[in-house]
Amino acid sequence: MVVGEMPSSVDLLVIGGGPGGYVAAIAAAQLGRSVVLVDSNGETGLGGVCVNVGCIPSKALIELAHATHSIENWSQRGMKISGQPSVDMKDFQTWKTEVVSGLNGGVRQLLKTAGVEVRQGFFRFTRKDQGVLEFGEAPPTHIQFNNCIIATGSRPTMIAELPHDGKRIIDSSDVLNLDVLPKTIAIVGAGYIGVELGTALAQLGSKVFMIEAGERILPALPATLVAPVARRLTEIGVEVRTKTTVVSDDGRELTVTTAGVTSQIEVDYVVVAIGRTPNTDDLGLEVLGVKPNARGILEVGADLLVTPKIAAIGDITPGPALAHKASAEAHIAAEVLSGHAARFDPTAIPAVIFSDPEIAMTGLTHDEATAAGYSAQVAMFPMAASGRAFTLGDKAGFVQLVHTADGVVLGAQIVGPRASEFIAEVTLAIEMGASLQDLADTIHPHPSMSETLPEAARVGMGFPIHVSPKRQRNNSEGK
Amino acid sequence: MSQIVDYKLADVGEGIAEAEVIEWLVAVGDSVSEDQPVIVIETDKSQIEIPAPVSGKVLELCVVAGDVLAVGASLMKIEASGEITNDISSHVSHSTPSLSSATATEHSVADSSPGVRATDIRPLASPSTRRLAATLGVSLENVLGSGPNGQITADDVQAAVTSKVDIQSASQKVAPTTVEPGVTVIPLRGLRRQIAASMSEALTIPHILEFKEIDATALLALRSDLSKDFEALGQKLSVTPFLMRACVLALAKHKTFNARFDSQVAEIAQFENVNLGFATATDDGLIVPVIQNAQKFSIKELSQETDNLAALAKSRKASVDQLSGGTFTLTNFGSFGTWLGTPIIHAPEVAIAGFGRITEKVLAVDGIPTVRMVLPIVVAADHRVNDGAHLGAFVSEIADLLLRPLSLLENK
Repeated sequence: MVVGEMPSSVDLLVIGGGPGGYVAAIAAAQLGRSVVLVDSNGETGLGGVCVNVGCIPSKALIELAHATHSIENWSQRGMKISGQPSVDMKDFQTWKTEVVSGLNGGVRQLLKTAGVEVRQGFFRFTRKDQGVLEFGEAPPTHIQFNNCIIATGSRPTMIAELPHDGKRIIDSSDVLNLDVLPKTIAIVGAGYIGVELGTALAQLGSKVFMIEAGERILPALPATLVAPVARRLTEIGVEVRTKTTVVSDDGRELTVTTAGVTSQIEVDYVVVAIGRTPNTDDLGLEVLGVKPNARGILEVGADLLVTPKIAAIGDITPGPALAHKASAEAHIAAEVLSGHAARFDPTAIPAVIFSDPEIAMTGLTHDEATAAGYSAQVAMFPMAASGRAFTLGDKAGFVQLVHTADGVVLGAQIVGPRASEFIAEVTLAIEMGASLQDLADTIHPHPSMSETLPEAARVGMGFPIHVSPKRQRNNSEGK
Repeated sequence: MSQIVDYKLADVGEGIAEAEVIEWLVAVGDSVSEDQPVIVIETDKSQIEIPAPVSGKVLELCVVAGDVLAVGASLMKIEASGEITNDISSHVSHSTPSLSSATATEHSVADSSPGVRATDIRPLASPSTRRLAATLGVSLENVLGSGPNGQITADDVQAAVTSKVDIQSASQKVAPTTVEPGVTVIPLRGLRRQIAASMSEALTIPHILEFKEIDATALLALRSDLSKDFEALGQKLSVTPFLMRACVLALAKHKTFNARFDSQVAEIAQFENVNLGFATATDDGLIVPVIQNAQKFSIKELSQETDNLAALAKSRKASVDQLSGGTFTLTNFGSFGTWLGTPIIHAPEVAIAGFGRITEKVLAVDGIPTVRMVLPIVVAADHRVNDGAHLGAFVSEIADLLLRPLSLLENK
């Protein structure tokens, strides 16, 4: 054996420091494992896309946009400020960097406290229990492991027509680093990332074009949930072009085609936000005898194992590519590899979209419940009947509970202000097998948006207080 | 785009509510082709290989060896490589036992049991209960919830463990273990566990017994006569087919013994056809193969069918059809040299006939002590369905037929 190939021995190796990887590392350490975490960005990568270039910075931008935009509304409700509100993106970047580095440093400290060693580099399997860690010019190091958790996450999917240059043609992460507010910007892809960014930039004052190949924005969601968001996008001046695909970009104009008609859009930036690609291509998975599916996903079961010694979690496994799903899997993977009979078997995984108004979902939609074999019903309560929504000055949206004939809660879809903050209650209700009666009899604080849940439950039971029972019956999700 | 198939255990046979996983023949990641056997389950005393419903890749095995599954429980998840056209519940070839001429409508518990239709409906259980179930190796699909809306509680999971022996070694091969010198602990598994369960169930049946001894001289003479034909064919003719034929003919007159009792709905189903079970000792334990429509069989045919089914049972290759649907059972413990015993009714049947060893005894024949070959007969009956007077008449009928054995050759 060549001296340079003498591997160092690691008990449990975690590949990737995102919300899957770092949680897995801490959880495994708590189970008594000796853990090494490798990340291509080293310690600065801790927290992953989520903390550094995803969820966290995007929410910071969205909050700035929301606050800036709401000044206009509040000026009609008593707020007086002198001069025109404006945004300095440089100052925003300074604050955003503080937020991000604060959280990144927090993860670093948590791993240190847990005794997890962090190493920088790209890891590639060379044997079923071994791999090589490569970083820049440094000599590669070989690592032999007893167990491994692959948590390499995903990256923005790019398209050939729009080669990423990081200047004009950028991805969702690049947008969050702009220190100048774009005058004009095209967002290709109106999925949740595109809608979140497009909304924020439009609220900040950019002229936003949203290009979507599907028939409408957020094509993966039930149409009824999307309608309030689509209306709001129009109100803030976003130009949405559906059934439209990109032809080319010449550095000044983006050429698109809609139903065979070609047109040009002159923009400063083009953001490609058509989805995310799992990072499973350069891992040397073939030596494990493991092959991702056509979408790059590793098809794991409830034990999350890809081999008896190796588990996979997060965006590279089936299910929604969401940070909280990765973190939940992280606990299971650490336990399974430590000999516990744990299973990743959630009844409901919540998802939130920070659009305007927010969309939050958990459990099953009416269609999904019906397809699964339930005799499902839907109970709807409009935000226009919520006192708290009145005081927030935003009455768009509704709460929708999907339930069985016996009243067992199967799912919820919420569109409205602060939807992201109370969807977890329904997730808990679903996991605990709660019924409409349980929700209705649980006392909720007044005034709060969460009060809409017991109200919707009472709609489902046929005895609502704040809406007419007759008017609210026979609601269905529709398409 | 590929489709993921959640493959569930289908109803594998009449009256079978559960099955035990014996072993997986495939592993996660394996490619399987349609109809390739993927799992061996044991149900109602036979082992069955269940084939894959589609071709594709195994994504997940939802159960482990030792799990006792209800109909409808998820077995595995397969990523189908092609179009899915057929029913995706496990398909085991079987036909419903021919009970079409039943004089009463049969309701069995299995008929009304849920889960025959494959759905993705999840059992209601909280995350902590799910975690407990995973830790204890309990499949929630097999647990009956006692909470509101049928929610499974932690207590329900614990109770399921208690009723399920040896959960820790669920995925391991069952082997006796020595816990202290001189003591060997053998996990109760497979057939033994099923026998234990059905014998415990039989305890709920109030048995009445009727005993009789008859002169078997004529019977043995007839068998001896007929044996010559069999020996020419290289076969042996035992007394058993005669005993079977006597029971079948007696049942034709005493239909209340050719029946099944459903205590849940308090109904007795009487049958025109006799599906005759006969107790068979195997290396693994007692198995009861069933001769369907035994009234259609001659002595010779009964002999051949008995040999055939007994061989299948002993090699554990009998099908579900060949092991289910019985309406009456016979046990010939005389073949072990036993003088006489008290047979236990094979629920949901309502009676069982037992025959002891034929031995020389002194009988009074025309007032003179005479040495004769004597056959002891016993019939146990479910007293909820028949009374002593009925039983007496039934046993007398069997005795009369065996005393006049030529009658057994008539009315095929």
